[in-house]
Amino acid sequence: MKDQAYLSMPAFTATCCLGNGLASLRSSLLSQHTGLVPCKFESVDLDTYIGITNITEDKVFLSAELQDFDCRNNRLAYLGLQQDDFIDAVEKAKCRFNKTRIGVFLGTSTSGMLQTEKGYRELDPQTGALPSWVNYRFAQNTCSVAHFVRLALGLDGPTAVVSTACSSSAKVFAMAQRMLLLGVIDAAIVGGVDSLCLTTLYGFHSLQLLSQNPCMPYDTYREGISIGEAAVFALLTRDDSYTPPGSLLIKGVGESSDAYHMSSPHPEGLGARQAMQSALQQARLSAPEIDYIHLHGTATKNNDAIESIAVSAVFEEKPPASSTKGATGHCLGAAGALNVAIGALALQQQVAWGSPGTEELDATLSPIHYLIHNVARPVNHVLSNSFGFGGSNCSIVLGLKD
Amino acid sequence: MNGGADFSQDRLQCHVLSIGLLGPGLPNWNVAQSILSGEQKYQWADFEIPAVTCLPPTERRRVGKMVRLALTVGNAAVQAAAIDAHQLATVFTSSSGDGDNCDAIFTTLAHTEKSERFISPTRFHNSVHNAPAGYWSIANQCALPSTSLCAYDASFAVGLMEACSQALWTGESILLISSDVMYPYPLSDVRPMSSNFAVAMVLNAAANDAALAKLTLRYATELETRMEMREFDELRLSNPSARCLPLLQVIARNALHSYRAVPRQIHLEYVEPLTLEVVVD
Repeated sequence: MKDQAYLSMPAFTATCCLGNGLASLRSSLLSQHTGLVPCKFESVDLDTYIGITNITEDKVFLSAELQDFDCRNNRLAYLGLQQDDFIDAVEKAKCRFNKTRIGVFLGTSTSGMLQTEKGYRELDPQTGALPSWVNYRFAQNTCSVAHFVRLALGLDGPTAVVSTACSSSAKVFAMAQRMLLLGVIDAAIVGGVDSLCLTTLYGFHSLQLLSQNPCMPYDTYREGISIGEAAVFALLTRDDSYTPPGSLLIKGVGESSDAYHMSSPHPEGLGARQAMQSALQQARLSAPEIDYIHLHGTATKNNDAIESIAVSAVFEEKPPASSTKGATGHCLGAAGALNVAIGALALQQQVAWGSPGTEELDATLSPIHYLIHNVARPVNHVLSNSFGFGGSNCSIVLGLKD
Repeated sequence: MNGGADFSQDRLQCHVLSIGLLGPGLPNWNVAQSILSGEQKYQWADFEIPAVTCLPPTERRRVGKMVRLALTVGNAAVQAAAIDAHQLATVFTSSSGDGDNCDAIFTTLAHTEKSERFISPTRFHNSVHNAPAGYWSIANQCALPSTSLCAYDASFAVGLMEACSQALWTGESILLISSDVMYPYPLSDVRPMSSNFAVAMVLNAAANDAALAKLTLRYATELETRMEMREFDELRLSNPSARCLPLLQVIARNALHSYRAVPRQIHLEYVEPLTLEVVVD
């Protein structure tokens, strides 16, 4: 059964600070535009840049049956679902498959935490109780977004959130792959939704990992991350005779743990190496067959240095590689799926993406073929990296159906 | 087609090689086995979550109840299965994460003086849902894949399905750890739990001599199984991880009375309208 583990990705969509849906993402990437802006989010007083989406503040944004789930994260999910005819693609899948056999597996780290953060400012002065508008189950709980998306799409299948920090929405591809190929489900909605909140902004600030300027992955003068938010969804099915030639395929997913430190990667990048090698192995590809590596590339001193060591060790011949977080920001729990979406666009456009924001490649990094500018070239296979706190690593190989 | 796999099959099978357990009045799997099978009387007893000795001292000081609880049952299951945790992939599942840590961060952030919004870096990295997984991998030097799931009250059933699918996928043993810890006030108002509870299982696609049960899983639409005895059902509902109890009771009865010839079927709470059907034999 594991001989060939390919999945078909007949539909996907991404919404981030570069705009709603794939058209704006594609045009921004082609023009190497950045969506990062000075942070004016909520009451945050940090000197940093963020990637913020245009979520509406409209009170009746969500339909009545979804109102209980109202919070920033689920609003972002809803906005994301409306793009690129994604709902139509799901409706078609519902015609083909039983809706109890369509899974919803999403990654998030923040969920609707912002609502509870605000609730703590309005604790009852006598009792210390939270205000009645804090809805733990449908907003703050980590699984809220998966329940919300399942309900919004009218699905009745298996549902879960994977929450492994910044690898969350890459690992959902592995979960869906196993469920699909073991025959437990026939289709899956995967992806990630992470939204701005105070915990992540002040948390990364406490670790001294926030950049004061728009982040500059792999640059000599990089100084940290810019936090972004995103909603990314993909429809996955088994790759079978229904898959038309030229379709996007998920060819391999590799997972590993660093077993080293909660917030610093293994100094030799062992976990990252293992994830990349497992993904290649499952895709039945050798390193030289990868045409572009979409790096995790958060733009912290340490993460980029160690990812360069790991990539350099796995790839003797250096394929073009870059991070696009200078355009989108680091979308944390949605970063893995966003990386896959941008990797898919590289396959569709036949472009290896450059690195918006990066000016001078850090010469002290291990040798990799880092692209600062877009390069039009044949792209048949893309490797996408995502690494998270707790030493959670996931790499994904994408390709096109022959 | 993918290697000739039969996709019409919707049932997954795996074997339970060992169980680790810690809940009120259930100090370990051996005691729980005799209580759940009716040989010993049940009495609710609150308990202290033990310190973890398997972490380096610097890490040991940093971990809260959630990590301690998860690692305690994980260690118990690994020891009972006589397996090296270093070579065991893991599935962690929890409805809620570390509420104490969450409460401390939210309290700090609610300061009206923005300049006082300083979160401790340790608190921040401990706030990730995969904190128990991270500490487990460090404690056991385990570089194998690990996932961390959440499905609100269905978290145990979702974790069981995921662990079973991974056991079949890799052909190797896998460790499932499901844990939930009571929230502090005021979060306890919006997420009430009345116990701390954690369960761990080592699963494998193949049986060994010590295997406790064979599980056959599939999604179903029957109602979830309740416990016959009121105090057990209260315990089942007191904590999302305790939703495993109907399954553990069948395993306990089968193991002690060795009437393995009769498979028993139960339904675990899953996401509506589904339940997770488990046939135990």
